[in-house]
Amino acid sequence: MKEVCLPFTDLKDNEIAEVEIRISERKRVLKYRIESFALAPPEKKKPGTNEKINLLREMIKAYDPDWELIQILDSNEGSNYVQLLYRYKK
Amino acid sequence: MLRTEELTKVFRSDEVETIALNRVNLAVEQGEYVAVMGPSGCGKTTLLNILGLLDIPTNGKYWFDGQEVSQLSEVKRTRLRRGQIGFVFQSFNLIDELTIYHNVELPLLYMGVSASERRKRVSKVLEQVKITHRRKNFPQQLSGGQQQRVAIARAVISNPKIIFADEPTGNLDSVNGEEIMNLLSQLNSDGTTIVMVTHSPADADKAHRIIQLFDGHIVTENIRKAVKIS
Repeated sequence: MKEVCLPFTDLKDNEIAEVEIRISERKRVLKYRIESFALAPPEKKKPGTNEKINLLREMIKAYDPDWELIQILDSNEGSNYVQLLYRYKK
Repeated sequence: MLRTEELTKVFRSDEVETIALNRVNLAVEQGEYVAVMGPSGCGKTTLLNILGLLDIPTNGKYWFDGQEVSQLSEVKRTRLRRGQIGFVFQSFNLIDELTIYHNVELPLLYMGVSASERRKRVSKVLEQVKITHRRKNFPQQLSGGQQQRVAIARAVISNPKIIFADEPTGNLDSVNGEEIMNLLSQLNSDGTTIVMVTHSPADADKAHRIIQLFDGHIVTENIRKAVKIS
């Protein structure tokens, strides 16, 4: 089994969850981070789909290369924010 | 093996128009293992259904094994699916009234395979997924993990070129889920192309490439491993 589920309180933006696993003498540290990206300026309530997608693509492309995108999380209906789960590569 | 160009799917009801897929350009090579991820409602299953010839796009082109298939009739799509495509669904989709043996045998009956050949192939594939001892049981007598192994046996019985899996571990605990993922990885190592929709990052990790969908668009792709052509 390679999957470990750890229930913990919701991460706030830019907080890093660090998980340390020891198997016999081997230690592995996993770091996860959730980023919230605004898909439109606050004054603009409903961005167009293409505008939203282009912005998201640019944000993903420009993100710190030491972190890899793991998952785009479900967001609340009508929200202008999208949450992305990243894992530290090194 | 698969290629789409500007693939678009629009669902229309009386009042609402929903663009489930928006100009998706995608190519999958033979022997590749591709995971499709994204939040709920982003178009993952719609994409899988079109790629698996269960549905047709509203616009755009789709080439399956060199043939443009985007507007094929239901009859022609069914013919093309038989023997070329296998499906594995989250909810297993086994026929409750048939035994495990007969569930697995069913695709071969549709293909007109002889009785002796059917017996040989069903026995072999049941052994491959380690479920031979349950061949006389009905689906409801099996655990979720066992039912999914049967569903995989049914998917591979016709030696398909490609398997489409929609959340194959979604209804399973982690131990059974891991077993199913190992089976899919083994099939891919043996040369079967796999396209899998999943919410599980751990399952997606097994793939050569992860595609992230959002609002019907591919927003990014992440190549994780090189494809070994067998």
